[in-house]
Amino acid sequence: MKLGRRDFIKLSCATVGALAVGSTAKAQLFPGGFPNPFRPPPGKWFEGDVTTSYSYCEMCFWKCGMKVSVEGGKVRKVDGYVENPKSRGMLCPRGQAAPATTYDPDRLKKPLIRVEGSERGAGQYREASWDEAFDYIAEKMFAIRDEHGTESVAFMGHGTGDEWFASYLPGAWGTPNAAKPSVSLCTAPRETASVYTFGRGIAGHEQIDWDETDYIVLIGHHIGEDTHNTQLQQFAQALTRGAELVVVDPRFSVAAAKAKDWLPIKPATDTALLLAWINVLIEEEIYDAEYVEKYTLGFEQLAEHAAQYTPEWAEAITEIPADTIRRIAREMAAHAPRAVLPVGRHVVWYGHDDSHRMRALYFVNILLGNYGMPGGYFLCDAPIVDTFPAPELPLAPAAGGCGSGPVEVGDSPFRPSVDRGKFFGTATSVQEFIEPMITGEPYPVKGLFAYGVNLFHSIPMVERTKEALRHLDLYVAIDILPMEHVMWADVILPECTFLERHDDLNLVAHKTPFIQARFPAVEPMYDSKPAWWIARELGIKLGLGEYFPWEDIEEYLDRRLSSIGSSLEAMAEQGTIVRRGRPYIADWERLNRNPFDTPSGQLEFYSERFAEAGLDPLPVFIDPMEGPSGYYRLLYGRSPVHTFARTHNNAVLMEMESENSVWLNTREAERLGVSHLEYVYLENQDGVVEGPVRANVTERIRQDCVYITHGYGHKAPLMKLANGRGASDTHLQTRYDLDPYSGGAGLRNNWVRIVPGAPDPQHKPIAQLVRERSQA
Amino acid sequence: MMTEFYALPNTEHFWHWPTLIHFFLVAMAGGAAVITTIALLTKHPKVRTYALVTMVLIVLDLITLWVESPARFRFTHVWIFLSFAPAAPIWLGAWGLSISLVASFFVWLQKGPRALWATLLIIGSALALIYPGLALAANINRPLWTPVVLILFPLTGMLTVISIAHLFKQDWAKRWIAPLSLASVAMGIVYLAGLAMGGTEARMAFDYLMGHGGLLFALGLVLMAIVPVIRRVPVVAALVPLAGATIIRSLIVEVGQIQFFGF
Amino acid sequence: MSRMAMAIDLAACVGCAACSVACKHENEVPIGVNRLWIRNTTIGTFPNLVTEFRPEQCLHCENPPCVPVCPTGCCFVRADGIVDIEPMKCIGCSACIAACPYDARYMHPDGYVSKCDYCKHRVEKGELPACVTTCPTLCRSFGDLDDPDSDVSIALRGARRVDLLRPGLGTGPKLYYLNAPAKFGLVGEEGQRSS
Repeated sequence: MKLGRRDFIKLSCATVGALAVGSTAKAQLFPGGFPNPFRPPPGKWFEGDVTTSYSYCEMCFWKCGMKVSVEGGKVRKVDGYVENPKSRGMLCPRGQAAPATTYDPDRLKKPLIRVEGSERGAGQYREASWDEAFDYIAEKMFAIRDEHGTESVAFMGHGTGDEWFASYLPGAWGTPNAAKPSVSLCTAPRETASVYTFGRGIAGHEQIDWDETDYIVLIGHHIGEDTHNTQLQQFAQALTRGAELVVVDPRFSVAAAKAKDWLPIKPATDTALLLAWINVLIEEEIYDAEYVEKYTLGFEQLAEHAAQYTPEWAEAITEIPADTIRRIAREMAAHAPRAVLPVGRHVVWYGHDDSHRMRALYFVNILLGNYGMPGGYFLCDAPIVDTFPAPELPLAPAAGGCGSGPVEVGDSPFRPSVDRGKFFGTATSVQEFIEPMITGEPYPVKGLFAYGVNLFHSIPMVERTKEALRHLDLYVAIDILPMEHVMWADVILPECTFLERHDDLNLVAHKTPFIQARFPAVEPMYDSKPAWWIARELGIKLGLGEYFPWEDIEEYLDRRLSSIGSSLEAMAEQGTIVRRGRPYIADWERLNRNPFDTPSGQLEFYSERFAEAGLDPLPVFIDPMEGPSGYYRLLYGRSPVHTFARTHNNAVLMEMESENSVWLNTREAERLGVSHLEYVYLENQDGVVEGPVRANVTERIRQDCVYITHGYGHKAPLMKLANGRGASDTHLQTRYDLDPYSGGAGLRNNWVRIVPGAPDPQHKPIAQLVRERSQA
Repeated sequence: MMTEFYALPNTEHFWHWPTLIHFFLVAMAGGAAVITTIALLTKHPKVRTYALVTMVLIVLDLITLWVESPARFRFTHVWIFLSFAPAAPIWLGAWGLSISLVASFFVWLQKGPRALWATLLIIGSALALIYPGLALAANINRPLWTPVVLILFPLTGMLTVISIAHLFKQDWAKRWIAPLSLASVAMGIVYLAGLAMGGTEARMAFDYLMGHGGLLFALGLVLMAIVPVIRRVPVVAALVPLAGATIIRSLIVEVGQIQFFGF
Repeated sequence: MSRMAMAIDLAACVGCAACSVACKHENEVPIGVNRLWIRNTTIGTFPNLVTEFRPEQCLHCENPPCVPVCPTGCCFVRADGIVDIEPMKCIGCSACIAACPYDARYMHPDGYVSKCDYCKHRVEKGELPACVTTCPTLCRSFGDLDDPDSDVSIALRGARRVDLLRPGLGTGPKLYYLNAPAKFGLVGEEGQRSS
């Protein structure tokens, strides 16, 4: 909820207005109806019989270990626990709000099958039994297989259960077309750049040695707005400890508010700044020469290449003064190796330049000598736990998480995935699966599973996605809520929330690698089922039973845990098993091992492999695309109280922030005659309109761009709290620019203009909607 | 300056229209108690009638308070009489009204020691008359509830009840209407001037009041100010100042629930 | 006797609202009212800006204006300094809501006034309030002001500056804001100080 001083008065005024018609007063006059005369206030949950169990959070992908308190058969509270290296005893707002998602009355309750003959998207469904739903799916899948081959069914997944739906089941069924939006719509450039520079992915969680660093430079990295719990804790502690902070961002972000220097860079020019820093570090000979000598390859080529990128050159592009660029570079060097430029998570910004930017960022870090050193980037690997003994899958599933690589078909008889050949790198590209559904090229994709992926709030070009869905023979959605894209599916399978289910073990690459387990705190509500069960039952229907040789998840987990000398019972008592890591190069050298898995065994400035593929072997700056005049570059980011488009029907989180607003610079607002909190429309370069959305007239953003938080603007009438509030950035992303290195989709190449004078949509207060929902 | 909230502070109004009715009724009840007291002391022939009216008004007011209380079926009101909270205006008011009710009852019955009832009525009616203003002015955090309210509310309270008395053709009432009206108008102007010439917060409060009922406030003042001109028609002479007083009181209670915390 | 108090380091706070959501569940605060909220305020002009992230809740004043105005004694100060409410004595008169300078009190739909009680049920067990426990920035310290070794006493001693909300009212808050980002202290409090 955003309010200005004036509007705060208006808020009180609105209350007076409501009083005049008596609605508020009525609510006050008979609160809660006629209670029992002598009834004391209801007892508090914590005075009752409270039991706790371990889980790890699913409110976002960070997956913090949590303890779940249950009283009276209901989850009452969740907390972090100190033994868990992710939560360390604390949880973010979204984690804390987990019970409100489980007890969301708008949840999907039973398997649904689209009424025969009704349009996809018309939302006409009939309830079905699980068995009937599985039969329906199996029949369609067999038909697709017989006509087009197994590869013509695609799987998309996001969330812990995507192990089953984007890895295991596709591997068993035999399709390489399995992808996660967490790759090409999020991390792909940083992973490709990392693999080709360090010989290691970033994967998992950004491996920044916050506890040891003294100087932090954040580039478009929104700590505090993307409340990644552990990272936020360590970031705040570093600041409290006295670490200095520089923030590069077109917007005065939350992190910028904590910085000693805020560099309001012109959007899309970050690579120029990084190249200039490389230039200064090398020209002034303030890089870590010893580190560079010992661990890197191609420094001479880099030095020669970077000579052209002077601070003066960068000033003209970035609008950051050359003196400031020099000063920051010298400060970094003075603090090195305990100076770090952390890698962000969502790095698909401009497409063509994303991998260059990520490599340039890594190069600055290497020149500071911080990779694998205290105060820089630590090294981490996930702990190893054996898989459950089962026949080898026809296609080896890709690794989970953000660093997911493509399913390599190798010598198998399967056709490669439909996105192969469109880009160089080592990722799957979820948005490249859409076009083949329409064109049938390189071969038809006729079936689609969407597990936890919000197709209309993550993949750009929403209308294209809808067109693709119309072309499918089978579209199955597995989800918790009746999201808009879910209500397009042929079959909707209701999953239970994470508080109601077991899941596979979570193996986390961390400074101290660890294993955490999830136990159900309560029984699944309604007729919802856990992902593992849905995958197994469906697998059996598809004749793939041999790949699911466990009776239930308990057997599966216990067997896996036995390989490390633990058991499900032991895990229920401790929640997390923490291992020792090898965070620094020195830890590897003691074992006579080389952590850098590049062909040269060195950190590679100059990439032979890129050169061979006809790509730039060293990072270059490519002039950003410019938008039409009168339009602003559309930037987007996160709210600390929401995850993607997932939490916008959570009553508690919606009370925290119930609609987004478009940040517009004060001077631009004056020019356009837009007043603070006025409702406006956003119209993009292709005429797509979003809104009404409030204008947030602010000094906190440059004049050449506007900003909205992602995930609002749901068009899902069955999600009563989320529906119709705010504007969706994804719907305004009708263009994207494919990164030729990683396959990432650069999403910030969309422009919008502000159309003032939108009607006030008169949203009901969340409290009123919650009341209406509970009465219904 | 731009402010954003995650979750909102509890800035909604806490007193709603039933409370405004209470403020109207308590003005009459307190005023009636004062009249009964004076009648008792001056041995007015109609003292029993006034006592009965006082009782009815107090009971009506207490019923209003009970109905508007969100705790009405928990009967927690008994705690008012089981606690000692002389710093709480509502505690004082509750005791004032209760004492007035009991004393009026015995005056109406014409039983018991007259001196005792007179003493109790002096205390009780004074408390009942003063407490509404006190309940507002006690909140130094709410800039529209200034100390001037301590005088303005008893004055307008008396004006309310005497206007009603005049309406019911109590001949003594007539001569009090104009002085009380003009005194109320004077205090109303003092009230506004105090805000307009006060500190930053007071001036913000003045602007806020003007923006949320400035015209109504002026109307209230005018209705009271024109009393000397219209005194010849009894019904008009009674209803016009009554309306003026009620408008001013209701506005101060309703609009005054603002505070400028965080501005 | 003890004086339980809290300090919030505004240099660390990012206004993420984890505290507010934790409070909501811990204390079953109904949707529509809040014990704890975040006020984020920006001052200045581009590019010279200050944004203050400020969680607000009951300040458990040493001299609480809400307590004396209560006609039934349902509002009181505990021996440990926590300003508390006994719902079974509340008549819902809202006098305490009127008296609170910090908008900290609300009417519970069940018909009694409620507000932050520093999670007294946790404090009594030797635990920290839910907001303190969950805060990912560790910006909150809690403890007994009379104990020089308590977290809050240590935080107060170590702070660059300490500010109170609406100090002009003489309420004596036992919730302190440390290291306010603006040079003059808490944003929006300039008027309060002068009045």
